[in-house]
Amino acid sequence: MLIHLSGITKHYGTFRALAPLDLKVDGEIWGIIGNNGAGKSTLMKMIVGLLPPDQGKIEIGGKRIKNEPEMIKKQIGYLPESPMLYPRLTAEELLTYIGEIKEISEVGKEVDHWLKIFGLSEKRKSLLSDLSYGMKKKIGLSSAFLGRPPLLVLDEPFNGLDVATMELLAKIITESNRAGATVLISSHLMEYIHRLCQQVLILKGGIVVGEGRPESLKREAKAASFHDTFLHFIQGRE
Amino acid sequence: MFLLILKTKLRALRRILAEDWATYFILGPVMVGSVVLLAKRIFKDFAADIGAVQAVELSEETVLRVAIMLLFLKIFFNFLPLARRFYPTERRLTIEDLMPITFEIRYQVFYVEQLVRDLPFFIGVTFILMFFGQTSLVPWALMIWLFFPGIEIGFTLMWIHFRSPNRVELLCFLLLLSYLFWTLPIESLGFWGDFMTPILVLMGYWGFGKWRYRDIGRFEQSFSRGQEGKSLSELIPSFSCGLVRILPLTVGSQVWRDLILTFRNFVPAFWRNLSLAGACCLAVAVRGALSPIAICAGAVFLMATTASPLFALQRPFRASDFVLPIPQERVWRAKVIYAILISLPIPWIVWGIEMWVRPISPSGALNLLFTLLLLCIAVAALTGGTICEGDQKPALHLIIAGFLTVLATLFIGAFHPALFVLVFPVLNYFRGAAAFRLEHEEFS
Repeated sequence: MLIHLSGITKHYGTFRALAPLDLKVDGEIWGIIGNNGAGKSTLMKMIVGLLPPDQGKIEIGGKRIKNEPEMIKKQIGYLPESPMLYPRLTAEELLTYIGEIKEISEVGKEVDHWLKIFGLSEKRKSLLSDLSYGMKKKIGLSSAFLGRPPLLVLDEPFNGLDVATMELLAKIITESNRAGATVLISSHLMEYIHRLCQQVLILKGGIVVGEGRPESLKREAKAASFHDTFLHFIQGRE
Repeated sequence: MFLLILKTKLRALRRILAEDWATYFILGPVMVGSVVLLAKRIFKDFAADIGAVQAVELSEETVLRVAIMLLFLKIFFNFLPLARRFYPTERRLTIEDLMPITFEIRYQVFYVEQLVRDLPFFIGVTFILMFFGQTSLVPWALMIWLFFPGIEIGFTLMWIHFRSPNRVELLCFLLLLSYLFWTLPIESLGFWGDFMTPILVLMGYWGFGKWRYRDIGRFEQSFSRGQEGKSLSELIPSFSCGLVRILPLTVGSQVWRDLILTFRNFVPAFWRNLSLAGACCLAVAVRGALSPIAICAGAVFLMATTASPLFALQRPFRASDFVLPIPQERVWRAKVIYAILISLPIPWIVWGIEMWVRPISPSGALNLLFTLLLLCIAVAALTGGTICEGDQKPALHLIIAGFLTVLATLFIGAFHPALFVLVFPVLNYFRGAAAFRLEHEEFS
């Protein structure tokens, strides 16, 4: 699914969250990296329609989200940085609710599938308030993958997960991409960004300081690891 | 230390009030005054309109017994919300729990907070007493307001320590106690009150220091695991299947979710509203000159206002909903339907009690039922339909919805039920305004 951002900016009062940004994404896995407060989550929120840009336009699949919000939102799976899940719904109820709203066919089967994948079948009847942080994260991920949307926007998807689940998630992301999904990931885990992403966007104070394939960026920075590559762009550029 | 904590909390409260001082201190009183004046007018009109029976005089003894029953009701409905604030479970840890503050000071702060929380009840009761000319009972209301938090804290701590947080046992106990207090001679009521109050207050003070940490495990195990309210909410799925079929899918799913959340204590105000609405319905039996239509409107209004705190409490979760393909107008519509659904039993109960106590001809009975149903739908729809008007502040919403409730009662109840049609253009206006506000909400 094609995402086209042209000249988008965002300010919170006088604070510049994002300087004019142009980006074209189509069918790849993109990593959006940067320090805290660099504008990663703001960018993702604007893509999924949670925040309107101050200037510029966002097109998803050739359509603007403000013109056809329902049609576009059906095609997006979004994991926010801190998923807010109703504590008094069970895992199954929440996913069924999301599935019904998205008009996913055979919601029950789809819910079963993702609960099983993330090892939460036994917790399906548990209230979300009774689940650990990691389990809630898995429910958030299940809600994003539910219905296999063609665009996945995952904000810090690896946070709070155990090692085995991080590996599982990496596999699911790769498979989703192979099946045709465009994926945007923000993370501080450079190892996963390096391994998974075909393209990387580095933000610093709302400005793009690096963009390209991970290996190209690494070569450009003359760094030994992707971790050092990131530091090179963050510390060395304005 | 006590003053320091109080000062910090007052500062936070002051900031909240400062944001909307004009609403709470100018617009609010003006609107409440208008509502009261209109309500008085309607009260008089109704009495003439439908030939109400003579007023039933309540003796002070009965008023005292009813007040005790209402306090038991408050203990019951406030039991879990209060307990949830007592125990510093992992989810409820506050910054004060992590600081070196003695339990005595924490108790005092908690007591003051409880007084502030109960203040609207006290003001409401005082207002009602003055409205009915029972000013001699106001000092009693003041005493209850001042000492009841101590009783409530003591009772809740003791019950959880010696029994369990299970509310079914508590309900049985309170029902038994209610029966005893209803049948005991009035003289002994005073004795029991004087005897039990200091014991409960002292036990509360002592237990606040001793039991709060010791009973966390039991509290978490029995309550936090969510058994509470599950049996009620289990009734919802089958109901929801029908709902989802009737309503548009996105609306049906939201209403289904909201009903489940309501029965699982997501909105503590629901139980308070339910008890108040229940008390209103029961008041039909002794309504005197007050029309059942006015009582029904009041009960429906109380019940339907649950939509407002529900919507406010859902605020942190709105971003999750916003990324779903739900037209914002349907978010509003779901709340309107939710308000109607939770209020719908009220006209039937009011009508049932009225017919039981004062049977009238079949045609008159049907006419009354029809009017009550129309009024219920109108009041609930207007109350649910204005949730976005108070900028998601339940107190502000209460004033706006109260004003509209009085107007709806006046038009439908006092003038003619056919004026129900006026609800549609009003709702249409609120729908447009709500959709605009919801669509332009930002989630930074």
